[in-house]
Amino acid sequence: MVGVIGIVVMFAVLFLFRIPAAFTMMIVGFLGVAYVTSFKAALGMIGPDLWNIFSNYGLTVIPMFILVGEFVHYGGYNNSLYYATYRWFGHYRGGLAITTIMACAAFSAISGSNTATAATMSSVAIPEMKKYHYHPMLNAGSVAAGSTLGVLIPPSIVLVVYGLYTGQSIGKLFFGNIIPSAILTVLIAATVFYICFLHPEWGPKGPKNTWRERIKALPEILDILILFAIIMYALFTGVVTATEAAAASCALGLAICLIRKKLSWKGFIASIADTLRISCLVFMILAGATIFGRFLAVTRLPFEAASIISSLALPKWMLLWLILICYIIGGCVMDALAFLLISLPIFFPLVTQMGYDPIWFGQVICIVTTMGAIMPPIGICCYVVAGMAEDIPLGTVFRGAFYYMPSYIISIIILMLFPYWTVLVLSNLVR
Amino acid sequence: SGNVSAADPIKLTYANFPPAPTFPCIQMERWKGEVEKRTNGKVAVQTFPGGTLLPAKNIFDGVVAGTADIGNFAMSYQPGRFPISEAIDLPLGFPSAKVASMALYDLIDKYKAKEFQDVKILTLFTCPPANIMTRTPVKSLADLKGMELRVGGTQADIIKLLGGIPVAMPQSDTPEALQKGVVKGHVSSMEVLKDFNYAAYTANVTIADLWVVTFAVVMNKQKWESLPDDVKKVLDDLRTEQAQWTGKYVDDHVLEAIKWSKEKYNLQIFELPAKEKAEMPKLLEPIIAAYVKKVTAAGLPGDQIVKDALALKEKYAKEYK
Amino acid sequence: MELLEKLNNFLNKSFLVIGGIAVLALMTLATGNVCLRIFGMPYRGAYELASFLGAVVTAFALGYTQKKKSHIVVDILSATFPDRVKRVLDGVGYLIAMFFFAVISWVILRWGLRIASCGEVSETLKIVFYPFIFCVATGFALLSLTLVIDFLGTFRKKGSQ
Ligand code: NA
Ligand code: NA
Repeated sequence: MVGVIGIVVMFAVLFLFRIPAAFTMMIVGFLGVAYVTSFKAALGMIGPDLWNIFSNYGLTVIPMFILVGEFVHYGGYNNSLYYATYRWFGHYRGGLAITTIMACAAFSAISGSNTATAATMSSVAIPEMKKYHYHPMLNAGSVAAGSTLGVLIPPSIVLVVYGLYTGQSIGKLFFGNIIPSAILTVLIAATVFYICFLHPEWGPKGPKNTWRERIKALPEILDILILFAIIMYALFTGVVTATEAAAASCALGLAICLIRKKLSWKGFIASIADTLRISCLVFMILAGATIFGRFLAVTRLPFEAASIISSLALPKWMLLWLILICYIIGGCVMDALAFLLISLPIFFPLVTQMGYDPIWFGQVICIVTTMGAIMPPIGICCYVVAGMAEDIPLGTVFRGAFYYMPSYIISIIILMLFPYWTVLVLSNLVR
Repeated sequence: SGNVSAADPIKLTYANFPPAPTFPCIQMERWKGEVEKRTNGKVAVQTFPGGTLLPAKNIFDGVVAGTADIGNFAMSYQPGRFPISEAIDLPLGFPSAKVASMALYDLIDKYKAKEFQDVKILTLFTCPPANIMTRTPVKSLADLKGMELRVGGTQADIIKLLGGIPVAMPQSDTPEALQKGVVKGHVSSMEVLKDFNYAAYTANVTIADLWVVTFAVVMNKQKWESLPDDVKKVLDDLRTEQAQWTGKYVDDHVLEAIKWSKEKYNLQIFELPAKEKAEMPKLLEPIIAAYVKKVTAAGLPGDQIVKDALALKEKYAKEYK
Repeated sequence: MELLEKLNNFLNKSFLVIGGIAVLALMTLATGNVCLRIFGMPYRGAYELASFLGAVVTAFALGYTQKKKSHIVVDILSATFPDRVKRVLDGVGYLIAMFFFAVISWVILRWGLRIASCGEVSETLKIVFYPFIFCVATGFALLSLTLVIDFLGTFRKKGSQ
């Protein structure tokens, strides 16, 4: 009960007051813990919790990926990248937005986190799409939806957590993920087509270019493609882990910018200042979501909701959908990953008991959790995109991202209809 | 809030940090069951696995502050803070978790460790001894030379002295690093072969019984004082019993994990040559010397603590043959 | 007031410089460790130092991020409020946040002192790490100070209207 009141209070403060979302979650969460336990207990919790989030090694990937994005941005490579893309695909409606989604998918193969993907891709894509007169809703929405692929496509924080918490093979999970992420990526790209069909003026057509012009645009982006190729090579041959790949691409990006004399001193300083500012806002949102999640944990609301569902006598498929709806609601009121940690111990045994394949369930959960990151009102990816694109309000980002919701649901339905062909056919190849 | 009547059970919150299916959480659920049964429902324990209430390194402070009533945490991961239990962390060659758990229990009891003065100790236990799990077989220390092995930060020095290259990587990065070969193996207790499916990447084990990780379950002091005497008695009676139960449970669990890994991944088990086994204590002596020096400087009888730890090891090793 | 603002600007700028150095150090450390590992001698403290540097990066940017008003406000509803109501709400919000983060800063400081006094060291390098905790406490203190300036600023705007 206290948990429900806490959620209501949090939303009221979030919408009515003009306190930043991160602060609101933190303050309401803190006061909630103080109410349920004691003021002293809440004080004892919040300090070390903040330290833990700020000094989390896994999260250091965030400033690193933001920094490489800024170097590429201030080095003018964005410009060249999107110029080249425009030459090649600009004559299709929404061509740049689809390219952005594909770029997000490619970047997700380096980054394990959606916030890092959102921050990097916003700095790369948003100003460029704006330049080519894309509507803010399509612009920000495609980046937000694309960035959720960060946790879907391996390396993926959600799959690693799922694997560790359920004892499933990470290799199997990663392999089983290939077709589901391809399906979702295609569906998200298809959504762009659909949006442009509804609102043709949102993703304006450019002129059709000759092959000569197209090829002329390529050398400029060669540096970035080489950078990307090196990092991917290092990642797949096992020279580096995902987190180190971030730092290495940063150093390489800086080196390329300096060798090509692309980055001025002023650009360098601006890259760093922006990196600090954006990392800080991302970390504060993560901290806010964590503290609010602590409050929900002490009220035991998520535990109880989960155990009520698991005790219902319903047909298998209905129970499974109830669980998924639970994840969607969980994704609305708290950080989706935090909800995963709380709910897995309760749902996982139930789902395997019902006879569902654990690797397959991992993919379904991953897609649902992925969607949570753009679900209002606590949609971390949308917050990051709105934070980066200063002239696009948060509401527009959420509304833009909302168009992509059906693609997640459809992906899940496809996974349910064809569990073998979508997941098991590949995951069974791994020991 | 609400009316407090005699029928209302006393609620105790219990924070734990590893994932629910791992042994520290299994022992928590067992303890909860026993307490609720033996107090006839007078006490209800609410468990919070997976760091949902408090993160790993804040559990001790969180219990002192009252965020949770009870907490289980790994002393080994907070070096400097629990000097007595660090003696059990030393590479003394404990043969099993049960032996190490009972030794830890007696040692803390004997020295009335002052780091625990703000809490009530409910039980103490350790994980099973750490062994070397690798991609390619390690049949002697020579095979270990220059091999990158993932270890928890605290024990990196031991691997270095044995000739390996310790990589102090966080647990969350480990599966990926093992799969890709960023590290060539890892050193920890062997239940992870099954629990985290690490046998898929490292199907070779070299038995070395290097170290154990020490855990403590503590309770907020005020909360303890507030409990009725009959409940206190139930919890007190459970202290040793729970340590023994956990030690036995996790030792059996390792055997099961080995059996499972043998069937599924054709796990191979190696022993170091007898000569190297005999040399090991000498190789690892600097670590023990450093410990004695450190705690002696802090005003504790370092030499005696190590002697006691070794004596307790011998005693319980005989008892639990 | 002006003096306070100048002091705050100076502090935010200095902290930004330190944060910037930390982020570059983070990059160098992690990249350097990859190179060292290729040569078979990884630095085992790399993970630990990286996480401490990460804490400095975020903490020292707290004040600057607030100054730039970068934290995301959910203003879907409140954007429709009249200007005067908005300003009052802003003022109240700054005041609450200022107070809250002052408390947070104090709590983290006190907890850092506790870690310092009980002798806990880092897991791998076995070094004292409480100075990094103090860095986080300082970052929150500066955030609180920046919020004081913002709070006072809401009055000034009212006067100039
Ligand atoms: Na990814
Ligand atoms: Na959400």
